[in-house]
Amino acid sequence: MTQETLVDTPIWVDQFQVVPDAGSDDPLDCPATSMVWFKDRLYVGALVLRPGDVQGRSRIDAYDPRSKSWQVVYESPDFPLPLPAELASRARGLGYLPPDTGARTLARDQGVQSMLVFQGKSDSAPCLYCSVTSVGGGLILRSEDGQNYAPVCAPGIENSRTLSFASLTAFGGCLFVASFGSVFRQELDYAKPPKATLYVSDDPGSAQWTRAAEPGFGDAANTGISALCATASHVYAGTCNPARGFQVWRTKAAGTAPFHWEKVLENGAWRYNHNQMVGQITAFGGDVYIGSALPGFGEDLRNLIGPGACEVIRFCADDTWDLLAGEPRFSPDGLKAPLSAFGPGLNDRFNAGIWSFGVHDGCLYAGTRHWASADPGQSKARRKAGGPQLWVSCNGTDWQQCLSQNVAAFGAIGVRAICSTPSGLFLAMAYTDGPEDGQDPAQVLPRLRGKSSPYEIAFETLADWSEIMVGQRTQGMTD
Amino acid sequence: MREPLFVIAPPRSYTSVVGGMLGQHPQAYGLPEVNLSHGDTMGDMWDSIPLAANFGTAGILRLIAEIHEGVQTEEAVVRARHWILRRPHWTAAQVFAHIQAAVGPDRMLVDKSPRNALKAENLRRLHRVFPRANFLHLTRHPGTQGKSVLDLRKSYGDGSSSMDPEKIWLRAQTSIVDFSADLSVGQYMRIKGEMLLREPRLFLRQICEWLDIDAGDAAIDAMLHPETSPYANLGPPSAPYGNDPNFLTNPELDFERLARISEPPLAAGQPWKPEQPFSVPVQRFAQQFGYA
Repeated sequence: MTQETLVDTPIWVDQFQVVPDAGSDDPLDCPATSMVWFKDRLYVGALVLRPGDVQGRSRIDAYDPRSKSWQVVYESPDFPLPLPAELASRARGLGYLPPDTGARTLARDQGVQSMLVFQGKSDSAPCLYCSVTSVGGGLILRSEDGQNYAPVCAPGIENSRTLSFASLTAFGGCLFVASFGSVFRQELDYAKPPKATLYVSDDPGSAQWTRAAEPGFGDAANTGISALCATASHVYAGTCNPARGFQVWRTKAAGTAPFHWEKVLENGAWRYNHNQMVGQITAFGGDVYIGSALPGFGEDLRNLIGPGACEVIRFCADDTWDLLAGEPRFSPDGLKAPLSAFGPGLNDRFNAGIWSFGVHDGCLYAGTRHWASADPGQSKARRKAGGPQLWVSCNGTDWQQCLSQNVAAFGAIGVRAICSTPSGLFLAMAYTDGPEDGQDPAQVLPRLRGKSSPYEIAFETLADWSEIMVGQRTQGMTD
Repeated sequence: MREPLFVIAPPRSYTSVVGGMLGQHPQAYGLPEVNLSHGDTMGDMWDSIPLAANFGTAGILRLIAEIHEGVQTEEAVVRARHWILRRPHWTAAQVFAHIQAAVGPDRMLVDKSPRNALKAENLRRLHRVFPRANFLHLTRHPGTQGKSVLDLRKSYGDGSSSMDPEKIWLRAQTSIVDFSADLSVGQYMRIKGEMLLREPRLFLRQICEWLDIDAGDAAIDAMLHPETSPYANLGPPSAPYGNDPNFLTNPELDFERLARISEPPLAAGQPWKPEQPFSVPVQRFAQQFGYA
């Protein structure tokens, strides 16, 4: 097989395998949320529960594919005691310091939202940057060696009620981050940050952050900036807009921040609020690919949207756009029919969102967030038959399913992250411990308590554990 | 034979003007309101419509007169009525086949009867007869649609119906959305009537592309003249309507007026009930259709 045919050949189902576990520190026992390749190892950001912890704490594990070994490289420290009054109040309200246990300590951060290797102005070499979730206000951590991590921003940057930061993206020597989620006294809101703010820094190591755009790009209906990506010429930002559907904006990031942004897509690409948010966005082949998403179980009960399933859209280098998979429709930009011939959810109504994109060896991979396995309202047979899917396209137009629910174990709810590495294509599969038939979901899943419906829970909190998979072409093909 | 097109919407949702335009495509035949979905047979349909309300039967009377005799005189309509009353057992499929044979097999029948969307059952009946038919869901803002319903009631002194216009809108939209879930991808399309009417050339061309009929300039030009339809005027005394009375008295498009069609903010609520917001289900559909 020639090198030319090697490129653009996807990895198929029988070429994926589960990465071996690591004994007592098994990273698979906790939900993995992000991955990045750094210093010849795969870094997996996760949320773990240590003995005695009431709430989870962030952990980063590094996997060395050569030795097939894992190492815990970061675990969140506790907040120093005594806790400030406001923080203690939040933690008590959230149930993190239950009075009956006498617990006084509180993990500083409770999950890794996004990771990126980036070299800022004062970094002597590329560093690992990670955004973490914290009830004290989200943080961005920096590590030069992958072993030692230090915050490089004030909690929440401007607002300590900002839960975290998402979509770390590099462009033009700058690092962009979007605010993610809110901290309230009684709950964490994963859907909406206090303000839809976007920050930028050309020297994050010095903790200097500036607003990259007006909050929500000046549109109050944009409740969040849900995804970012960079092409050779622009940074693209996708929004969450429950009223009218997502928008996509872009900037050349010329001059000083806040930059000039132009809107290139609106009204959920004319599907309106059934394309509530950009779930993921990525550059591929000179174009920008957008995976839409509805929260939770394909239905936003707070904003009365759905049920619906996701779409895949391409914003082309010539400023036109294509519907690749989704609902055919009329638009001011012409008739849009799905070029892949797949309808919403890639023909599966349980695919509520595109949860991950990855480009590997000339092909674009998309992982879905699939709610059948997590839905206590579905029969066990249905939940067993459910499960997320990995789709692949080598030309961007024609899509094929290369990994299905038949491979993932029972309870799989999504391909949470995809990471292309020299050692193969890594997938972080998210699983949930669903109730058995006839069991009361609220008794089995403590996170459902206090909710009037299991469908109210944020999908972000559904994962209980993960499996890391790696896909590689067979030896004969890669030689 | 070309598959028919059904324009489905609540009443007062621009179906007359849009159906009129689509029906004037050279490869189409625009029907007046035949209401054939409202029963399994023509007799069921006929009996379901109060005689006083010849809104409901005038369309089929005028159509039969036109395709049989090429005119819609009072005499022709009387003969059409006799023809219909002798065939109460005919199914909707038989009636549609009769119409299709008369207008030619290559012409796409365009039906915009308001009763089609009154119940999901009516839509399913049409789908059973034409499993490969196309369905165009035409939407209109619930506020302007409701106001239009009330204005029409007022102008015709109709005190018989007190149903809240918001409920009429919701009932039809629920029927349509429920029904559309069973259709194949691409068999059902939705469009905001306001958007279509503000830029008719742009969207009519897309509708033609979707239906796989000629989308050229000549075809679009023809569609911009719904007044040339034999049904775009008042009929004889015993069958005067068969379509929206306002459209029948003024069927020519006023492009300047159409370009100014606006959509009030959804938050403004019901124009006929000051300070009253739309119900939650109405808001939900309205946002889904793009009226936020």
